[in-house]
Amino acid sequence: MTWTEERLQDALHASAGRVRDDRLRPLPVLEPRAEPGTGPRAAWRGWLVPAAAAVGVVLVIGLVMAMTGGPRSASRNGSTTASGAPVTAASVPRYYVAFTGSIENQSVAVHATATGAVIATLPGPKIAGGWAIGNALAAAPGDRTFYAEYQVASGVLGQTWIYRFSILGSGSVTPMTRIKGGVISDATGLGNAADLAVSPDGRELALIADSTADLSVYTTSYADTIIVINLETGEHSVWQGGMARAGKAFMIANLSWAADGHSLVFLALWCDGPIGVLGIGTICSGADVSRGYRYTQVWSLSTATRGGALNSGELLLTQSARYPAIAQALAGPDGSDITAVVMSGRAYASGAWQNLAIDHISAAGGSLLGVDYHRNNVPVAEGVAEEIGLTADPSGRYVLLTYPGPGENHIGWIGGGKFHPLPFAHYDGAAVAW
Amino acid sequence: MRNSRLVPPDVGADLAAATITTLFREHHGELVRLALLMVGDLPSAEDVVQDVYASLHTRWGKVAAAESPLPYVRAAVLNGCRTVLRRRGMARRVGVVHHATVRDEALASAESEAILSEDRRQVLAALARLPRRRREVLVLRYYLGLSEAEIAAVLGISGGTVKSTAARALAALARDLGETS
Repeated sequence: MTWTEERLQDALHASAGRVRDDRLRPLPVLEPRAEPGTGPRAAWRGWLVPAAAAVGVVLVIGLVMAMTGGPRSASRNGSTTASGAPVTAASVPRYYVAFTGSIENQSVAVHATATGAVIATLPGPKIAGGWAIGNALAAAPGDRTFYAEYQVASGVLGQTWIYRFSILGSGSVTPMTRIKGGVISDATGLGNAADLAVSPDGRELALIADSTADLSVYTTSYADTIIVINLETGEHSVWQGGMARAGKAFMIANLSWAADGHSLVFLALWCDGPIGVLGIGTICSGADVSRGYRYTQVWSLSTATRGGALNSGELLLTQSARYPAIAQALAGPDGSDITAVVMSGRAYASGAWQNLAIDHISAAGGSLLGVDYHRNNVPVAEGVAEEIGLTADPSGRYVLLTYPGPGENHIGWIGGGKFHPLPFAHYDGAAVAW
Repeated sequence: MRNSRLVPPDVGADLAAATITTLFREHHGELVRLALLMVGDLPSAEDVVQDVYASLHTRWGKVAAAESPLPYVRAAVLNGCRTVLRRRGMARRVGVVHHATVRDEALASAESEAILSEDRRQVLAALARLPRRRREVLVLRYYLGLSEAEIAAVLGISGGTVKSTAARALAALARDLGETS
């Protein structure tokens, strides 16, 4: 081998060696056989022109937003958080997905984050004589593969079905395919209590489920189970029980994976039962929530146990004077922290709170590490703890905050201490993921 | 609208899908690296491989007809890379910066810089300046370690053409790098 050949071989292997197999984007899940003219390639051709136009607009707007975006951390004392590089318009996930359409025919719309343009719409499952309602959405690492959870029912039998789809390189989107192990029987309408989360390695999917078939509007047993699905084998691991308190209703309000992928973080909520299932949010019943019993804790569960009781894990954080009402809580991006929506200040009879903050909290001891966003004197219509949502991308760095308002719902990402509205034409409060 | 997801797939389609999936799982990293060496950035390389994977699901018969599916898949990946490079060339001509180029800058991370020494970067830059066919032959030969016959199968050319192309490519590379024989 000549010197040129040796140098070439060395350079090629060094360059290719930068690619780590464990960080490759997972291959999309595809239908066994696409019909002629309906496959991804055909779909790609169909909207090539609008997609190209959208990319152009994305570039321009992305550059403008990148120039105006600032650092994520805006702590109360001016220090920075330990959450790494700044979150800017240029760094947030390129796509977000949202349920859309009527309740009998809920599709998933794939949006370009920079413009809000819908680049594809995937029809949901059609159930003869029944219905399928979108419960929850989640993104897998890589910003390309997404999972959709549907509540389906024909007659009185309720089930949860879980689907997967991917955005391909060319911008086309694969059809939704039901995942292995993606049928969960005897599920009730989880509505906004549903939560899906993909593990950091993309191999497992965690979801909130329900142990009861009670479809009544108010229930004291609701969203009380965690299931982890092995996406390769379809095997289920189940955590349930151990959280009951006499005379109180219990539910799991949030679910996410810790950054190391070995544990789940969930927000446990107890309140004066029963819990209202219908409507926006899942709320403790009774008009005067602020003076009623409402208690929250953040727990972690090791997935190595492959199931068990919910209280077999570790208690990370409890509601306290420092954190008066934990509305939402997710595992933070650093592996040892929690990202939580904390309500504080005056509590109103409607269940609203005066102040809202997205806090970065140490999972070991509960100390405040920083504040990503805060808003004082929140209008009453926008400050009800149970109606506020927080979701994050698989890394936990890019969070989306949702809250209701008079006549409309709001959704946006947090960066530079600010709330940046997602460019939705009209956000109706449906589940969103990125 | 017909919902094909609720129709049980037939066994033949299942087998085809399983075969393609297995092939891609076993060679996923290799194919992405091959594409990376051709297009220069990881997101585009992954896009190429995913697109090839998706497209093969719609024409499995063609792959099955090939004596060995792997050369067919490698050829499809190279073809996808050509498309990417062609698009970039067109974008440059009309003054549009391809989004992958923007991401390239982000990907030129400290980690990559540390791994790739100046000498290696010079070699890769010289490789990138070669005509497309010569570049493909060298990557298949010196990265994948394919024989002349295997390269010929992937590129659809004769063994003799592979040999002469490789010789000319190496000579051009040596000249560009300022090597003296």
